[in-house]
Amino acid sequence: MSSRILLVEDEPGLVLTLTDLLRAEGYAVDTAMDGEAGLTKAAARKFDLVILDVMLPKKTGFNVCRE
Amino acid sequence: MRLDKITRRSWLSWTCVTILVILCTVLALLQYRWIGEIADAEHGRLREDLQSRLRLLRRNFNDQISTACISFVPSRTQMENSGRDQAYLAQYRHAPESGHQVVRRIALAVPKNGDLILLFPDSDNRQFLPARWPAEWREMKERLAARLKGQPVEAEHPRPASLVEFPRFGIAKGARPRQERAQEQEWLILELNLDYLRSTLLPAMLSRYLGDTGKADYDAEAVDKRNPSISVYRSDDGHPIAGHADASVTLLEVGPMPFRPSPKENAGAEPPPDGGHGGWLLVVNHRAGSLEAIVAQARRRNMALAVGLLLLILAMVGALIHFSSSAQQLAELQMNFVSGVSHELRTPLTVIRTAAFNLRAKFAGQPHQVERYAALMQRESEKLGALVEQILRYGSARAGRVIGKREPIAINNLIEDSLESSRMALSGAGFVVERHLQPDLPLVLADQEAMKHVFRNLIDNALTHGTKANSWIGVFAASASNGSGSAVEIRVVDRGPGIPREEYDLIFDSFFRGRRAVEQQVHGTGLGLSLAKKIIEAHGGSIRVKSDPREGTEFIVTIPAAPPELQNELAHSPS
Repeated sequence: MSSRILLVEDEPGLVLTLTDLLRAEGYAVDTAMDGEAGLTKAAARKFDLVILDVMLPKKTGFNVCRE
Repeated sequence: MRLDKITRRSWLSWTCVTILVILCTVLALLQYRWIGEIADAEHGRLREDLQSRLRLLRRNFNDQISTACISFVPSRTQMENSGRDQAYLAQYRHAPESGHQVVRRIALAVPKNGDLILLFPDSDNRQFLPARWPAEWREMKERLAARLKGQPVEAEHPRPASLVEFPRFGIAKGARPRQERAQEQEWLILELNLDYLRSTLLPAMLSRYLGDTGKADYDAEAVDKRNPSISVYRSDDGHPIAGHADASVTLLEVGPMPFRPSPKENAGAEPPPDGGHGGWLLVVNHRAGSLEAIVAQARRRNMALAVGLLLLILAMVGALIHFSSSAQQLAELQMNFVSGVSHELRTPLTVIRTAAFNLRAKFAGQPHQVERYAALMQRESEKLGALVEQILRYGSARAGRVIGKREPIAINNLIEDSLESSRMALSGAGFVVERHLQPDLPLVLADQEAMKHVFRNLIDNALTHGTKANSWIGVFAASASNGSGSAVEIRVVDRGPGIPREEYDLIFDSFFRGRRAVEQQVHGTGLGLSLAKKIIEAHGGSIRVKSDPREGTEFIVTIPAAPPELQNELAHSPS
């Protein structure tokens, strides 16, 4: 089973390219477009790695990380 | 860390301000006290000066009268040579002119059979003739009678103001020398010419001792000492001096005072104002009301000056705070701008770089993926291009070149072009654009590229700040009239969350970003609207905003139409 990564990023272009990149590397990628959605998803299931943007709408990456 | 620094700096500057304010307050208090002390000292000095002038006046005034009176008293030798009556009469006849001015008439009071007989000179001044005591001399008679009996007289029998008596002392018949006290044999009574004293001598004295450069600074009033309600003299247009006096002295202390030591004026001990035995009391008050009033006035003036200076200092501190805080705000905005712009530049670049990497590494090899990547790269490059253009435009606007060459253009084409360049972004976000462009709009004289930049910016703003829940943008163009002629009005409307009222004036400032945009990390530089406003104003137009939290935001741009002759020319041209 491949490792799961949660990508929290608000720029759609980056979400698209990074997802493709990570999937090509063999990871299972889940995405969230803002801080709150990221928190919800991270709470719902376990991820091996969370990639957080700092400048996020609704909640900054630092705040998400702290919670 | 930056925030820490700013907080520390603002804390420091507030401390400085507080210290300054405290210093100012302390200074004000000290100044208040010192001005008060100076005023008190000045008051004392003025009063002392006035009192000493009055003492000089009194001495001179009394001296002149005494000198005049004494000139009527014959010497002992004369008395022995020509006999009593003739000695007095001769002296009277030969008295100097100044003496006759002061003394109106003379009389002799001679004791006879336990009574006092009054003798007046006859009309030729050749002999004394007995006469009745005038009614107003009654007090003098009682006084002399008391003295004849050896009683103390000063307290119970004050002398009438107009009369002066000079006793002649002799040894009573039959008494042995040295055993008996010398006795008063008769009195020469001089009636003073009060009219002369009050109308000539006193004013001359006053102007000599109180007059300052010809004009007296003081109101003076002389009253009868025994009955102060009787005013014997009042300076010209002087106000009655009621109750209060800056200084006062007694006048008319004339004649020998056998039972009293003469006041020691030179010893510095000032007799109490009403302590002298003179008949008049001269009270003096400053024209301005009183010395206190003068001093208080000067004090108020000093106070006002000091308060004014302190207020000036405080105002300068206030201005300093204001300017430094606005400079600080600007610096903060610029700092935000720099970090914002670097983020804005980096994000599209990263997207393009990652996309290119994926394409090269064949991570996205399917045709639909390639198509998506191409679109993505195009969109991001356009974003970058727009950003760079905005910054360059801002730079040239700062350098004074807001717009370039203006030419007649149809505003509708311009709007269509602007919408076209935002088409991809609009459709990508699923926005519906409602446009209503009036077909026969007048042409406008505009820099096409600059104007396009304005509308792209307004449409972009509507797109960025509009909500996804209500993806609608309205673009309307209609003819309008401004103050001087016809114009074109373009409205760009969104149904976003609106702009708070307090930000209306700020959104057109360079580097300003709305609170909501900052909080929600909405992309932007804070330059767009300020640039738009500069460009539109360079065209002679105006831009304003209308916003409502429930309905959204509306930017209204008004651009004056090109002059009519130009319109006609273009309308008839073949193109």
